[in-house]
Amino acid sequence: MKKRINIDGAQNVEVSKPIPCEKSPHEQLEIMEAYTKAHMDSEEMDKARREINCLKVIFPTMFRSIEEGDLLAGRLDYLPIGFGSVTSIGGVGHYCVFHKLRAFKELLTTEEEKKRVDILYDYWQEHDTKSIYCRDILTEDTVGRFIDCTYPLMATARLSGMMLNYKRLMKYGLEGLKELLHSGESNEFLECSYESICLLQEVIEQQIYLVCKAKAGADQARRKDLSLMEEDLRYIKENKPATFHQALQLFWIYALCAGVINYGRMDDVLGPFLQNDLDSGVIDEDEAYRYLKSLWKMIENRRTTVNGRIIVGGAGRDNPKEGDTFARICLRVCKDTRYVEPQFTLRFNQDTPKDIMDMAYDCIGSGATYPTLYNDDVNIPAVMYAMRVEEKIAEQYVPFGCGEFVIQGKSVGTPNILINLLKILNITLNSGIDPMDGVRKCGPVEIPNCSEFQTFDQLYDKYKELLDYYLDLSIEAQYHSYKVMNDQASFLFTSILMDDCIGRGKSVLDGGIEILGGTNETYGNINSSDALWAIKKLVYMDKKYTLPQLHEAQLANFEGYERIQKDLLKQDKYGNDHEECDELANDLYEFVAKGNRQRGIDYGMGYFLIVISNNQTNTDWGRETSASLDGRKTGVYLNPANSPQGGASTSGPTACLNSLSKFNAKYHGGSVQNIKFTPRMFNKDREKIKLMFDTYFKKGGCQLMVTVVDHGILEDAQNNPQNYPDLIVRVAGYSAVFVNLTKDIQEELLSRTLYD
Amino acid sequence: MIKVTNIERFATHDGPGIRTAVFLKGCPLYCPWCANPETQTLHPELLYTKRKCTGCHMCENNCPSKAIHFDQQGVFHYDRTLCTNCRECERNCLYDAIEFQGNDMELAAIMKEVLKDKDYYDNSGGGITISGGEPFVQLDGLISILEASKEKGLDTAVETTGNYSLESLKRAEPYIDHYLYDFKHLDDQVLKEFTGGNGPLIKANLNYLLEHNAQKVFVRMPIIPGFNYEEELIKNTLDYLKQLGAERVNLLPYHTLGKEKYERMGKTYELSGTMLREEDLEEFHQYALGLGLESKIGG
Repeated sequence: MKKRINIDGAQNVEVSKPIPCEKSPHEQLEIMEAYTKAHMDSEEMDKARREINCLKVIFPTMFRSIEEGDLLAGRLDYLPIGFGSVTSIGGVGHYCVFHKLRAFKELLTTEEEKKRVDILYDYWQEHDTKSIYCRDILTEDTVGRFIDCTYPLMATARLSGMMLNYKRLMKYGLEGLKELLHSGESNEFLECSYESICLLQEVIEQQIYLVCKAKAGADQARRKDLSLMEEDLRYIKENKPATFHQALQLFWIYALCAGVINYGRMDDVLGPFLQNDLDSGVIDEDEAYRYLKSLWKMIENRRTTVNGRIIVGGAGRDNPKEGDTFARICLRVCKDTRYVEPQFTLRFNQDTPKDIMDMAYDCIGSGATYPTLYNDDVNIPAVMYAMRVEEKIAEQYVPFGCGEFVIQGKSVGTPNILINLLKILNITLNSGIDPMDGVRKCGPVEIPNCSEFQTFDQLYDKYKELLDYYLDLSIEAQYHSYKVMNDQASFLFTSILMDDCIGRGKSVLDGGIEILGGTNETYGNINSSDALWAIKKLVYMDKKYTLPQLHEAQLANFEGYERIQKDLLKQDKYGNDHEECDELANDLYEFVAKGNRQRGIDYGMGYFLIVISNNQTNTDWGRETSASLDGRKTGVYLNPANSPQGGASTSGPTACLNSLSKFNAKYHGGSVQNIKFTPRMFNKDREKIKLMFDTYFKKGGCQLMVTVVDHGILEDAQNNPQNYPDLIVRVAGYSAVFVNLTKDIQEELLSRTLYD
Repeated sequence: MIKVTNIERFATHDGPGIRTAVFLKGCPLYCPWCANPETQTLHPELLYTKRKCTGCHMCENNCPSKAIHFDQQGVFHYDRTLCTNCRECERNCLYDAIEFQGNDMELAAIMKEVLKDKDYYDNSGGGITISGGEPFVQLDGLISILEASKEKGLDTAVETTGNYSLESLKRAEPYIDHYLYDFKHLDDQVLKEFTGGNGPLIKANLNYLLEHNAQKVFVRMPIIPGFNYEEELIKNTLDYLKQLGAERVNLLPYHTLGKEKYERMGKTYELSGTMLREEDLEEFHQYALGLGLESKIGG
């Protein structure tokens, strides 16, 4: 059933508060009008031409002034209307973020100006990329927009997680790229790409102007920094970078224009420049530290909440020694800054130098929540299978956002689908109707009354049948998102640095990308398997209750059925190394993961994988998910990512890690494991903790995200937020300042087991 | 069947490496600072948490032997002598206000749990630690766990008071890699008075172990205000241990983390001293190092 869509409303997770636009509301309105006019005027043109025409409106105009202390040039604002790749900054393709446009309208003072906003609003209702997509895909009952948690499936259009091939940028420089774009047979995409680089050079020209402007009134030391910035901007405008600072500057300005918010293996890109400068005495480590600290601040100031990945270490680097030099300085910066972004990530394997691992543990032990740890020994073979790529390619895997993998410079892997496994289980138990709102959400699947499930397998099979239906919807919706985005835009800046768009003369979603992948975020995995285990045990093994009895209690949100709820809660739970319960969790995982992956293959995609990595959607979706037979009440958060439900892990960290390591990584495209220690345990028992992690990784653990926080601190921060401005916690696939989170997300974090 | 209080995985203070600690029930001593008072008896202990109790009387109503009642002020009363350990009260409490500590476990069940972390032991030089209570109280059970552990190639440690016959010690000795041996007081009379411990026996057993296997022994000295927290006494004790042939000592600062359990068991916690910080023991740690002992503050 197709749906009349609601285009208004939040469309991404936004915890960090964005920095307000530097331009006046009046100026902003004029820019948005100019953008809209360029879009209208280009209607008959090729999408690439239309895109460059629109980009010329926002670049370089939307760049902000240089700020005190900046050692790199490039700060960019975005408006409710514009061009982008992701929802975290602006929107996708030619976009309008309607609720932000409405909020913007309130900033205007005259009725005349407000009317002008209304005209824009009306135009974009028909032209916003995501709205076009939503009109095609959303239904009344099964598929909602991201974020509308009343549905079992949410879909969105975005080009998240693009990690560009910056080595190519460094190798060719801007003039070299232009030559490359003009070297073969021409077409409109290549021509417009060429013009994009020219536009980037204009941006650099404007940055030179801004840097010079900043010199006025600056003291001598600051003038020296600004002079370096000016010189290097002039240099990179025409030449490929020769120094670390130039390379850093070129990378940064390019990333801003491309609208990408995850950066990737910067150690392998920038390490050689750094090492060369250090060896030749151009800079010392302290100077490099200053530059990187400035980069950290620029990334933090973009406030993309769940993104900003910088990845260091691991196999498959061209320059491991130089990369490690870069990594060491980053670790110092990360520990000192305590920002929630960049999401600093360490890939490691047997060859990772011991001092880097020690620095990483020190950084985590300081409460920074970084680096997040990725085990190459498990992930590389897993990616080879999951994405069906050879080892050389798999070695370039990078986690973005909340932990989805892509291949740097080679694959698209945006998670445009989110699926709630627990809601689907509750619908299966309730004859196809969601107990939350009484709406039938089972599509064509016939679901009998739960009293008819004579065996556990009958129930489980029916659940799987409904899951299959939702997985079919998932692949259709993911695939269609690419079609719609491709109809609207070429994503020029992204395409130029993605293999092999230039060689093929095609934009990223038009056949240019080597690996067209995608991901499906799964939620409530563990609640579902715990609920299934409780049903299996209490109804079909022990025969203590009938399924209708449990279902009746569930529908009543266990009110008046506390005894049943207690029995449900007392059953073995995932996260405690209980064999049968974990096996069921694994069986459900494999069913969903393999089914999802096979659908990608059948659709001719490079890959379509589940990711068990969540932002805060486990809490948001929990609010709209009815009581479940793991003993969870209506509205309570779902389990975070791949970790147990809060409070369910009671057998110590090794038991929890044993459960976590049971899922074979080769079926998913990234999963997130969170674990929380007190500073006492993490720092005083450090050697034992290290050995524990080491064992977990050897047993097949793919990844770990560690929060170190003391007893009572989170509770105190809830009551006295003013005292904890930099208390950072790992939510799931991202970190946040605890006091910026909403109350129920804080509660979810508190519910997690704290090992001491 | 072996009477077990609980099994704790990733126990970090009970011997080298990553270990699983199996706490057995029963102890001949009754140290007033004991952090695990529920382990002292052999029978299961009922622990009642007042703040969790809603006063619904489900425990009282479901107790077949009338061992539980609430008085007119709503205060919970439990008569151990009437209790048959049927645990109906625990099962019927929806709020987890009642909890029994102590289970009869088969050796196989214990070993199944312990072996789950074998990879961690192997990677860290850890293993199993049998603690209590005093594990030698259930000597046959203790030996069966030790034998089974050795069969599986596990490193074994025993946390012990030393308060049993030398003959018992000799039976278990072939299977034990580390002794975490409590030494609480130099003065036999004071020890007897406070804890019921048999000083001469404890000293004799320690002497035996140090003579035969000194490198296996970690002597643990709990430092308790009002009992042994005196400079001269502690130093004399360290001198004594050195003389006896000890190589390693652990100075354990007094803590009150088990205090709430006394209340939950309906017992009185008799000590009133404040918790010690690690720095309070620094002087003695330095003294021990000066004697050539391998010393550590904490377990």
